Amino acid sequence: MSDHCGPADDARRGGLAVDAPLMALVGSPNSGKTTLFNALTGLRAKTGNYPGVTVTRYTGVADTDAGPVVLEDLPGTYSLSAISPDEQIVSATLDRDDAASATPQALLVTLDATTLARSLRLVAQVLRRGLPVCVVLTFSDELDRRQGRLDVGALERALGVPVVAVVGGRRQQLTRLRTLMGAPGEWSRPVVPPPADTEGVSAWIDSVLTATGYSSPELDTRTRRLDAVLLHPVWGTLVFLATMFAFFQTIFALAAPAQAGIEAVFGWLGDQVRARIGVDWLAGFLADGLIGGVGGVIVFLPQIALLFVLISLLEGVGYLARAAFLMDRVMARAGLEGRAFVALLSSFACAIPGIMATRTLPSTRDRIATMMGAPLMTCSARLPVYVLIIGLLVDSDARVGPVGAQGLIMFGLYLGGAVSAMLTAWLFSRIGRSAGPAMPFYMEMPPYRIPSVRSVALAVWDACRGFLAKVTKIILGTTIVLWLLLNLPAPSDATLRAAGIDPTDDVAVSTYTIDHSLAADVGRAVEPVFAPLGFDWRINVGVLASLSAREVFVATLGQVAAATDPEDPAGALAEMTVQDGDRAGEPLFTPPVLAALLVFFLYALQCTSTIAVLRRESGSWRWPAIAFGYLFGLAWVMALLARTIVAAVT
Amino acid sequence: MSTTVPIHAEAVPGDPTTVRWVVPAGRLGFVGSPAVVPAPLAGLLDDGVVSQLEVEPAAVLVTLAPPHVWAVEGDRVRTALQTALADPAGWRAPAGVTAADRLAAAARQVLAGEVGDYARSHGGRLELVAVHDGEVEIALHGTCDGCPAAGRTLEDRVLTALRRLDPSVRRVVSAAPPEPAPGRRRLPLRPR
Amino acid sequence: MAVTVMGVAGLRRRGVPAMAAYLPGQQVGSLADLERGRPAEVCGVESADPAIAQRLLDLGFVPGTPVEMVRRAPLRDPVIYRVAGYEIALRRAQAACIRIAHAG
Repeated sequence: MSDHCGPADDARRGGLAVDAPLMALVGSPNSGKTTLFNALTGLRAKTGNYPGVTVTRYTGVADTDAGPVVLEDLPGTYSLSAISPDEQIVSATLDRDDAASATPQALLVTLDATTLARSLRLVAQVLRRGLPVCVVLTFSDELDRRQGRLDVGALERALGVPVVAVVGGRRQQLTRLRTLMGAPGEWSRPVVPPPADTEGVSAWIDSVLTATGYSSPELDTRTRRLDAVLLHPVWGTLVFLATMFAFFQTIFALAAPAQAGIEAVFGWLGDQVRARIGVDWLAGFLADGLIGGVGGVIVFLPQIALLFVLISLLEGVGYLARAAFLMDRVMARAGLEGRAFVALLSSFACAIPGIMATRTLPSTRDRIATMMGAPLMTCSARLPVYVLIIGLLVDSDARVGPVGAQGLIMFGLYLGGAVSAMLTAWLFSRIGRSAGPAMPFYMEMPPYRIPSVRSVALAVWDACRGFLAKVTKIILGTTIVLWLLLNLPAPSDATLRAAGIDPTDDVAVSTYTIDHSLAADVGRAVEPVFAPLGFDWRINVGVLASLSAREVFVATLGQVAAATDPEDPAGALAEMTVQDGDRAGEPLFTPPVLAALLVFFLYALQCTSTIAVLRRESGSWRWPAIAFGYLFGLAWVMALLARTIVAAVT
Repeated sequence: MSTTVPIHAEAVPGDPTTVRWVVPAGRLGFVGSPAVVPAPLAGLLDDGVVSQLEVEPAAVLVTLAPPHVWAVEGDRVRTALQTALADPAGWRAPAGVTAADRLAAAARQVLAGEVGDYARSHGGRLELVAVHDGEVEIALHGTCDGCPAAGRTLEDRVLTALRRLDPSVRRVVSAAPPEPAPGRRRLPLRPR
Repeated sequence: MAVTVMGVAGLRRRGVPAMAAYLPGQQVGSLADLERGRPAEVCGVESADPAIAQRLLDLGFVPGTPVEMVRRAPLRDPVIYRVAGYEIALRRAQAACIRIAHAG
């Protein structure tokens, strides 16, 4: 995990000489800071962690006239009087006496030209820290458009530091900034720093605004008009629901063709390997283990990329703040806030982007609570499992009134997942109440803006890269281990004949191999745990295998069923009978058992990728461990409940 | 509780001991080195921290006596200055300085600044002629003289800039251009 | 322990004359109760938690600043206010910390 602090480590990661200078970007949220960071560092940015806290660290390499520098994009903050962990990072980084964090050599402070009256408050605090400062004035084009006025030269004199106006990170305008960044030692400093007390700062700002001839911009009529609709009690809610619906449709429908394509490619690859490689076990290992494993992860990519494109666009435009505003009251009932809604929403395709989206929550308590709830949202990995089990449970043409039974059950599972997620988040929010004071809720409503294409592209790239890199290692590893467990020990011909099996009968050989594999041993060993739920060792193997990723359950059961009847695995599944015990001879997949299985998959945390991301985003192993344990226990109890109820009803 | 007077500090190029404290225009009715200042500021003078004070139309220049430096004394001077400015009656102008002097100083600052630069960029030149009773008279030279846009536009610009420095200004007039010679007078085709 | 920051309304804003301080006929109330279309000015911030009071000040709710109510959420909470040149949503609990004065 890349969670070491210090410019030396950063420099090494950036491939630079160890003594590359460190600069930091400071500014309030919505001030164009991240757009500037992306414009200065481009693809050379990395995501990491501040040790021990749930705050993500963005560093990158920027070119200046004097060579490359390491640029750190500090979390956006309204004040250096910190009340949340990410603000504490900013305050500590800017504190020259704080030995734990590397103090930058110089600061770039983004200042939103349209909100000077408020934004200068942070500038005043930063100037008092005594580090070299260069102010980057953003949105000056918007100031002009809205009939505002500002004398930039006068602002330079009044602040006592260099001021560079930059619009949307345009390449040409960055030239002067890069020149300045090459020589921070030459930057002018304020001869007397601004005062520290609130009233003094207000007086200081007043004087500066007068001296610069600042004329504040007119109301942004475009934003006012859009908000009159988008935040209207009736129309706004309708537009919001429509947006959510379109969101889901897009993620599932639009991503499907790309996913099918990827599956086809990997399937073809697997076939090629099996055809070309003569050594059976090697072919199996490569095709099913490696290629199947990697393919199983990459098939997620279109959904994740699409999800991030949509979310980045909505955020860049400014609509996500409106969505959080509309949903805040509902979320408050669960002890959370509006921004948590956006994070949970993202979890509907995959919990990983949802967990990453908790970065927007200022309160650690909210972040953790939302992270604990996110895995319960019905993610796309559960779909193949649900489809398989529902298919065994009811016929496709079964109806409940006018509605199809299968669709109804699916909807019920989605609803159950969402409600459980909210309840879990509420529970952890309550538990965490003692951990820290309640955070005040405030959220700026920025004007609607056209997002920078580069920022959207970089956000998507960063998310996809992070997903692939961190997660593939784990998925690949576990898939290989599981493959080994299912196929070892490989029985010799002698062993097979002794058991009465013809070594040339592939089906019989695979069945025997699986029945006597290490995985089967494990499956039988945990039977006491799962017996009350009605699972036999084969289901156990499937459940244990799917701890790495839920879709593995389908593949595992498929392997077992195909071993029995390669022509009709589905039929084989339906006809499976219990092998031993007091239910011997009865069908394995009865409605109560199927219900238990469905509910188990609804609750259990069966995704090592999610665990990996929980580890990264929460900064320690504690929370993934708690999530896994808590959700496993909950899954077991609820599955037992489901089995009991369905058995009583049918 | 009193309202805190809005002021901020600007550096004086080439002089690290002096700071230009930009203050609300028109608060003090004079320019020059004050004869008397209110208590906290007077205390700094007496203690030898501040060696010199100079009042401009919209600023107060404060010079520190060595070995005092602004990094140490900045906050203290600010507080003293704000308290002093809250009591304009406690300031006494140097002998012989009138409101007209203040207005003249403000006018000179404006003509040396942005408006003067504007005129100069067009090949013209503005000159302060007289200040009397809130009225400022300027003379237009170079291409300004005879330019049809000159009169009204320049006067408005000077007036607007002047108001920011000295709110007591009432109007700006441009000195009458020389009478045209009888017969047609050609407008110059190029700047003289 | 309540922390109160009070200031007489009257910091001069560009072009806007300062409101006189607490004339009879001027009402003092909480931002949470401000209706749309009623001009008002912040006159103080009170909170049991000094960090919250400081945060509201740092967000621009300083004594003397004009503030207006823009719109409410469909379920009545939170509410968007316009202050110091930008718009910000606050829950009722936070808005209640901000004391305002409005004419008449």
